[in-house]
Amino acid sequence: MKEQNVQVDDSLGVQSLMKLFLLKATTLVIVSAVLSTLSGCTTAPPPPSEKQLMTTRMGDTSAVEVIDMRSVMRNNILTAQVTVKNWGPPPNPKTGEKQPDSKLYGYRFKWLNAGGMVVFTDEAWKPLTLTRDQSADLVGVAPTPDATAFRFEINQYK
Amino acid sequence: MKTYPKICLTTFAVLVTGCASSPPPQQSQIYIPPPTIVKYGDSQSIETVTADFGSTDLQTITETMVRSMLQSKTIQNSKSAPTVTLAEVKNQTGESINTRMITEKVRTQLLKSGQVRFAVSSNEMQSQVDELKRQNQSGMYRNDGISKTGMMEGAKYRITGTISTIVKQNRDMKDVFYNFTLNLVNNQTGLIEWAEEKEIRKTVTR
Repeated sequence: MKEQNVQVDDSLGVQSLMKLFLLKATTLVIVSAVLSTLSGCTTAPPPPSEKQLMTTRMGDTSAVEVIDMRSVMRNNILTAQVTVKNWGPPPNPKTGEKQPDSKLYGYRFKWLNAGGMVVFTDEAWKPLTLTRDQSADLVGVAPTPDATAFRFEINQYK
Repeated sequence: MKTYPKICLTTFAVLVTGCASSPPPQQSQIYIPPPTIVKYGDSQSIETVTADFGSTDLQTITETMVRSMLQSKTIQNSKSAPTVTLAEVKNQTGESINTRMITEKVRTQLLKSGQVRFAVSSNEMQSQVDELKRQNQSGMYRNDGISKTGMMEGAKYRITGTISTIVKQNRDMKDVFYNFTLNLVNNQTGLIEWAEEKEIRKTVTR
């Protein structure tokens, strides 16, 4: 009887040890999975889109989004079209009311040749009159047939 | 006992004279001008000092006109760069606008594009004639090196245009609407081969 008791006691100890080991292993696996997922989330941000790369912003122009960009060769001259929309400043946090955009923006195009060099002197900044929730198609025509690419520049001047 | 009032009196007198010793400066004595600050600015920036015709209007108008003209079939379908001359831009506004500045800016940008050639305008003709006379009639130049008369190239096209405004104002607001048009006229046929307009609205509020 004594031997049997001892054997039972031994078997119980091994089982509890096994259970403890399994529990620890499971916890370890779950923790490592969670950590790997989190670390996956905090990796480098997605690369900038082509629209972002072709847009240069100066001042606070975060309310104006570049929605679309396209270009076409017309009579051997590059014509670019940029569609922008003014979403306006964020709503009042207390009342939730939308606020009008009192900022004044300007824009211009920069024209580049196949080698990425600027082909003409800087264009003048043109005033961009965009009220809240208004969008506009801004068209620019290259100054010479040498221009094969463009960049869009937007600034806040007041 | 007698010294105490004396000390009091002298202290009072010193205090009073001390207060009145420096009279306020009179304006007519010395004029100190306000400090001036000189700095360079961006020549391409947006200028909104007044609603009058300004540098941004000049630059915007010129850009629009030149780019549109370059895209026209008249320019692009020519076998070689066509010859153009500057004619008049009429100022039909109430303002004093140097329209020559507009046409010369148009000419410079068109020449820089390499798509057209410019013949001397009527305003510049006198200096051209004077130079040819100097070379051909003064007898001071070698025959093989002079620019001969009768070899000038006539312009195939001429650039004309107008700038006009509509101004409205009340006590609180002023609205100025500019309309600029430019035409490319075929000198031989008299046909207007290309035209473009640019509208600008400027408002001033109190």
